[in-house]
Amino acid sequence: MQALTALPLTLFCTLALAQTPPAAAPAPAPAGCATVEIQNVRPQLGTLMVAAYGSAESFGKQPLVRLRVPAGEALMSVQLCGLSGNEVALMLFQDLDGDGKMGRNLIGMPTEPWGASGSPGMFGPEWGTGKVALDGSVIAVKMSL
Amino acid sequence: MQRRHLLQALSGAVLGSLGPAAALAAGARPQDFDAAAARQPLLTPLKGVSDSTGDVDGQALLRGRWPAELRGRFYRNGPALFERGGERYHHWFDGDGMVQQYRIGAGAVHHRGRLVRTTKLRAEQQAGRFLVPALGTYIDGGPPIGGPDAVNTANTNAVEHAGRVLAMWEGGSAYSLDPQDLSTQGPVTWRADLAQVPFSAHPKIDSAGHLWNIGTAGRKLIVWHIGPQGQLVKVQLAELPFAGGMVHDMAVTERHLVVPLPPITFDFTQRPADGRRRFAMKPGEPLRVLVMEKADITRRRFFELPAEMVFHVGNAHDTRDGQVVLSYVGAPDAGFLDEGAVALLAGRPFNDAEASAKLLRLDLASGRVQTQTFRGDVEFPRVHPQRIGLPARWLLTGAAWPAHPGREHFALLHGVQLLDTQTGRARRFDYGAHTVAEEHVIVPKPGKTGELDAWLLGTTFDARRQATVLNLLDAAHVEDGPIAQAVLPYALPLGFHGNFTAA
Repeated sequence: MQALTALPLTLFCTLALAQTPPAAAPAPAPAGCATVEIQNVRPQLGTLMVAAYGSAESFGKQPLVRLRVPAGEALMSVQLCGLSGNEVALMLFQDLDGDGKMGRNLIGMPTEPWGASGSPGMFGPEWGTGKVALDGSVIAVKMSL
Repeated sequence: MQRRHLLQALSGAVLGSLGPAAALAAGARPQDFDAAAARQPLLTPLKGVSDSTGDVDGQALLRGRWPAELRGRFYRNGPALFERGGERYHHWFDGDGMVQQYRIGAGAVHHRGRLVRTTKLRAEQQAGRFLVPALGTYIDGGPPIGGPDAVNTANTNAVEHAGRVLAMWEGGSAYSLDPQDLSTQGPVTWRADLAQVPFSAHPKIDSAGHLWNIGTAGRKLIVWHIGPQGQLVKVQLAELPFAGGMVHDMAVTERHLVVPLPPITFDFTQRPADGRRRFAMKPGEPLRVLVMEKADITRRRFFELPAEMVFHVGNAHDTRDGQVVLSYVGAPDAGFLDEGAVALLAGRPFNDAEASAKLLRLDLASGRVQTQTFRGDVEFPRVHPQRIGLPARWLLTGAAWPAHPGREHFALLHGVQLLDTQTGRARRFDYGAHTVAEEHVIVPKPGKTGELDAWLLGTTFDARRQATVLNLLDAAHVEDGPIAQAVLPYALPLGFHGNFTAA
């Protein structure tokens, strides 16, 4: 998860943030944007940190865009803009304690919830399992238990 | 994203707990188990409870003479919820934990049982199905695993310490329960940076109330020292030479911690269709016994012995001539873990290898080991609680022997045994063909310190009554069987371990 926090947090994509109620049918996303539906958010606790990657090479290193959103309800919908290309992979963590970093315990286990697009499996995101088509459809992400 | 780091962080006990379903022995569907249990009533407690039947209160019917001076709370824990949304777990160790409390005194025995409200249980209850993988059952389609406590079932042992009940598992946090009503208070975080660090299920508490425990994650070993008031005194970290798949128990002496490290591996990339073992003894790897100084665990020595599976220790003590003596129960293979516990949940027969009580004399200066093996198929070793870390002559275990034809295929104990480790002679009592004997503990008689000036307290499942029974024996007269019994008006799931707290 370090890659998510490696860049200064001041580089958030300010033009991207548009929170919509989850119950509403998502409006078609403008070009370069995607609607992201996030499940399992710990409601109202801290901040969701989102990073979007455009290729296997840049995955975990150089995001197309990053976004910081205050945690809302358990199911949140956010719009992520500044995207390009045909595919994208998202990585998220919920910064519960506001330190800007993925929390870890003494032996390095993650202690804050994380999530990824695609089918991330149980133990962490990667490009191969995380990439989804950037075609206007909603990108679903489940935060970890 | 540094996936590799996540994998490493979640490896070992935790990731090991996430293995796919058993390969050699396919798991059961609920209806298959029901059919098997109808033919073999000894198995019915393995049906388990549901969310609604997992909370139960009852008053026991008393038989015999319950001594007025025996007053306190006896806790047990074990996997209890095996089915959800029409799906049945494959492995006995998978079930969600349920803590039992028997309040003994004032001429009555009250029972209270509560499922531990873990993060996992609450999420799965809400979803109406299993969401996360368990030790022996692969569950697909759930959320990613955030850390060990996402899969923590708190199902292995329960002990009251510093005013709270700790419900413990092997790979994650202990859960705290209120001794008054057994309500779940949540995972215990001893210090912020120790959240979810494994706190395994067999802590040892010395007579002054100091609690020692270990936790393992891959090659990492954590040593916990918790003070009598429940405060963290010290945590120490070490690296192990072998990323053990199951480091289950540990012993203490006055100066040392003693940890058997069986050469068990988990293959969690293996899928059922692969047809390979999920748990196995790694060929060429010995059983290691790690002896560390409590004050500084970097001062340590490994002893290597022939490969063996070890779940449980009995006790350990230091000798004046520089030895550490360890009693434990060892089995020649990991068959029970890999197949036996799967067969039980499916209601299938399984021929388990015999597990024997052993005594090791570990010479700290020379590294030499002397091994003494006691005949007899036993498990769940315990000693007098005031002898933990000190010499103890008598080793209490559950036991099975060829008294009841047909039963040997179900790896369930039917007797209780006190072994004299000085002479090798055992005194035992047979609860009978229709009974499953569970772990018993030694409860000192008030004001007495002799090892046999004590009672034995433990549960049995009576298949004819379909009831759980709490039994009290006089340690000096094991062969006579229970002097008193408390018969519950229902049967509880078979449990693993427990402890008594005097009132």
